[in-house]
Amino acid sequence: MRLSGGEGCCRRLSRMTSTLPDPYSLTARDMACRRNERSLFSGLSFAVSGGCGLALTGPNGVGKTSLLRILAGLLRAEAGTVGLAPALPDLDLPQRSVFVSSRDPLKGALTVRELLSGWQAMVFGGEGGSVEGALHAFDLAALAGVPCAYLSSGQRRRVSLARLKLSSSAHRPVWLLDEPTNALDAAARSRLAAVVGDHLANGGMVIAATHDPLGWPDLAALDLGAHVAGRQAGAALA
Amino acid sequence: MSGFLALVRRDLALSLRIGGGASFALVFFLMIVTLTPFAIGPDLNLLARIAPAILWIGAVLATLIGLDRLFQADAEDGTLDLLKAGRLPLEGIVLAKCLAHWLTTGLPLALAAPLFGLLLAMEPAGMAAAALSLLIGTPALTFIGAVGAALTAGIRRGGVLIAILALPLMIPVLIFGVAACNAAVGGTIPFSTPLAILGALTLIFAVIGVIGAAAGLRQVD
Repeated sequence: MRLSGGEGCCRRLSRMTSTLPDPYSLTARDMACRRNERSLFSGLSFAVSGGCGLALTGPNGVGKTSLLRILAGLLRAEAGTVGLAPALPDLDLPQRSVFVSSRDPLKGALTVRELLSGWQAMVFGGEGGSVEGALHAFDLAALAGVPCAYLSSGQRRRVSLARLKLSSSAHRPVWLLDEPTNALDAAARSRLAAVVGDHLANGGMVIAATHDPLGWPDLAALDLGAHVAGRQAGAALA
Repeated sequence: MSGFLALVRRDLALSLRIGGGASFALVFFLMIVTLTPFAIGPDLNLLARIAPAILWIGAVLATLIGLDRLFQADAEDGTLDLLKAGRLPLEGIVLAKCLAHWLTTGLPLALAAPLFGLLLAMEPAGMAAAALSLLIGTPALTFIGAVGAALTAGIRRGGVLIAILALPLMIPVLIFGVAACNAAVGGTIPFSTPLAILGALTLIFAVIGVIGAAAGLRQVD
């Protein structure tokens, strides 16, 4: 099975290649994942190229989050390889991607601005995104001085997503989002869509695990339910 | 380097603010030191003789207090995943967190030791020796505890497990810390001998602890 985005995606890619000589591509081959002695998926191969997105769907527990963690370099796959081209020396997948998990890594005692400046210095040092830009992109400017303990779950989610704007598409072309729209209201969803659109236009890639239609352009779909280990191991590459 | 300092600053801010727990270790230390004279009774000579041991046992137990949250808080809320995505290697992350932990537990204990020595009828030379030995020895306690904290980062209520894993390794530090205090107020060995061994223990555990804790954190997924 090979996915390379829909027609619209290729259009965007051809427009993009005129400005960027080397488009990014992420290739996963024959991935298999096992968690706690239970096989989740196997024989999973796909490719995503710069400017394209991929929506991971499938029932609960099928391994969407595990696949994202493997792609983020946080979890070892049982089998298979993940490659990002063009490769950079000294930088591996964790340093080339931004992974926004379903947990919000907020510290109740820190204000939103302190938290984002901390992330900028500790994780995204020197990559170009400014804290003010990140606050603005997710409409957090009014909350900048509020301790994270006082935020609602939708606001926490927005702070969590704001790290996307602290990175730059050139340094971290792969965005891995786990249920990104959970708890977000309509305005925040459209802000997220705009941020993702900018990233894709700059040649980045987005892989999002989701149960809801995201409504983003150029989004191919990958149903992990079709790759459940043991059920369809042979048919996966058809 | 700026990422390292930012992590130290963040951990210091988190532990110094409300609910951070920077004062827990000091208060626990004070409780042990104040309870002992009541338990021993009005025998000042005995109290002065066992004072170094009480200060050091208090320091070891007080260090263990906050250790269970050293990595667990970051592992639970996903901050650890975020830190792993930065340029700072895991060893750097561990060293920064250990440094912040020592600045908020070991250092205050060492600075408070002369004051607490008064409660235990210590001689002035003994108080100075206790403060100096704690200053040199408590970093080793933090680094040893960091390995236990990293191994139990994914477990809820891992505090007891940390104590079981770390306490046996803390015994040499305890022995030479107390020996240094005793050597300062009499005895046959010079003060500098146990102090030098204490410094060596801190340096050894700085290396083993950082590498060991980083290896433990790599297994947390």
